[in-house]
Amino acid sequence: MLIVGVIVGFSTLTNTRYTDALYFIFDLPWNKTVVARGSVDAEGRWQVTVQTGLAPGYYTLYAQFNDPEGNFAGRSEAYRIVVPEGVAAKESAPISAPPPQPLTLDTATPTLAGTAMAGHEVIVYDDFSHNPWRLLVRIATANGVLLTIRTTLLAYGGALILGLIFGVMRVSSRSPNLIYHAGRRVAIGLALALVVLAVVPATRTLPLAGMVVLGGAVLLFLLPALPYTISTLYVEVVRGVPMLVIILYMGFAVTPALRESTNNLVDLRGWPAALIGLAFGYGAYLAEVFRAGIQSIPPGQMEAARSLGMSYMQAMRYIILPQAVRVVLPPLGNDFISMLKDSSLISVIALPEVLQQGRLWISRNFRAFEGFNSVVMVYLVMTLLLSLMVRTVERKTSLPGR
Amino acid sequence: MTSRQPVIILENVHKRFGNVHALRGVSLEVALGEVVVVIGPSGSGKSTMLRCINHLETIDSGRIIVDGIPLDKAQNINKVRAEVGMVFQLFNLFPHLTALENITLAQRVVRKRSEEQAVAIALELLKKVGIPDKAHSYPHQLSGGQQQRVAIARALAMQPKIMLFDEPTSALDPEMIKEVLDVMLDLAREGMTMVVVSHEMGFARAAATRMIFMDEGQIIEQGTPDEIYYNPKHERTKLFLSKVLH
Repeated sequence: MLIVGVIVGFSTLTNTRYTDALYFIFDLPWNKTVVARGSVDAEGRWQVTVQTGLAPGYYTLYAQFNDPEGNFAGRSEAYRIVVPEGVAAKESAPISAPPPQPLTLDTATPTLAGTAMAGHEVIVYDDFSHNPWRLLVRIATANGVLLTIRTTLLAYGGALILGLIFGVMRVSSRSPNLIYHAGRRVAIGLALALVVLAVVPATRTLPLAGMVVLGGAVLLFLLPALPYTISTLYVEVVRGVPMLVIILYMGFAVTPALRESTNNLVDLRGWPAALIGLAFGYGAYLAEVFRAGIQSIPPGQMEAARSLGMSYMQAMRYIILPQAVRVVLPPLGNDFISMLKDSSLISVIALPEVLQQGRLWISRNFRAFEGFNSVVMVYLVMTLLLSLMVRTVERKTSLPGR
Repeated sequence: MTSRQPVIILENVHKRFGNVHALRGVSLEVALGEVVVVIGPSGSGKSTMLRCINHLETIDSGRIIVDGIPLDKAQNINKVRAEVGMVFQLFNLFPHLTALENITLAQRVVRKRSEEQAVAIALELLKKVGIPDKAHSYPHQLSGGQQQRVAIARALAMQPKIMLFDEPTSALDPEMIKEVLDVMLDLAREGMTMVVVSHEMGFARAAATRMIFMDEGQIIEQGTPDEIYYNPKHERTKLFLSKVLH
């Protein structure tokens, strides 16, 4: 399955129709691939020499033309050339048009030439598409992919911590009576919160301090079952709101409000807001996963640990959680992959991750299939690698004799 | 032996699970060095009584004092539990730890012993229960009898004053029961205070200083093993024994 994916991926990567889209999606740093610059003269001819000298290998060079304002105006066909081993940098005859077959040079500093609109700028760049390994290295370190990976890892880490804390809190109440009462308290607390919400817009002058006092009063009221109540509220509310809404809410409601109320001291614009939104949203799912894991451990384990004199927290840490985590590894991996996919949602607050880059490219080129196929490929490669990793971790942590 | 000072005192203990009245005014004193064997039909409250002594169940009314510490304030509970070892019917070994780690973990985190000290004690105890070669096996690689012996070693490693056994052999195949009972007999001979819920007549006759028959949440009758087995006074005891002894 993975092998088929790699073959399809490779053949697509090397298909020039996709090169441009992938370049854009991967946000490949163009300036680093530029090998020469020049300009088109008054007669519409241009001639540019690659001064830096090319290492031996197979190259596909393009010339891109920008109009005097710096806007993209088009590009030439590919100049496919081969630089053999052991050639030095020296003057050579200009290659006036893209050769029909790869052209073997006798210099490492070729000169390209052609015709274009007078007055345009010429940028010759090096295309990796015919060298998959070089391309893969570039992709793995491309900004769009890096952003997606960084977002996923950090947000998942945050969600794991949130999920662990709230998951443990969700099982912390011991008697069913407490849960019953907690349910009633939640209902009353919610009713109180609704009253507060109804009052606040009517009297805009109600200061923040008043709300804190009211909130504190509600919390005090809920105190006897506080951990269970807070975690249940968190899980039920956050799980019930679409991830897209949470991210938009963080990006366009919470962030500006925080910036305003703290005089720009707390500025979460852009990536931090997206990160917090994702972690906060996924924490609710992971809390339920952890709760299920903890509750799947036979009560005898907790009893044995407590009978040895361990405190509740010690028993959790040394006995229950190490077993529970092994149980919930598959669903945790599931949510990890899910998180990677949902990181595409942060494109709604204009962060240049993979999907955002793909859509931008499509909107410029009107080639939806190439654009979305490229996006699909990038995600598939990442998610397949991830499930491979998850499976390895599962195998490594499984217990002997089980 | 009963003249000695009691280490476990239960005074009129009541415990309810919802509508089920599991303990109906149980009073019991166990002296240091006594081996008390508790028998009774299932649902009679014997396990519940044992679990109350270790505060695995909270009692609804009455009083429990263990080693002079009343079991009512939260801070006393871990203190009491460290003095009271418990062995469970289903062993409850920690499956993610080796036999050795099962025995050393609580020593390190509760008794704050060093790793070397804990391992030395654990190996000593594994030798005592007869499975020194299984130190690095995981619970699922051990037989039931071996698992229960590791569980006993795990409880002993805390150097408790009292050991509670909750039907320690009823989940075992017949040929494994003896190896566990032998370990318990050794313990009894060393003078360990023990409360054992078990129907093993051989063990009771060899080790018990007192036997208790419980039914419907109450202690119906107590006496020496011979008195209970061959000369029961109450009808309910007779009825129960007629079903158990063949």
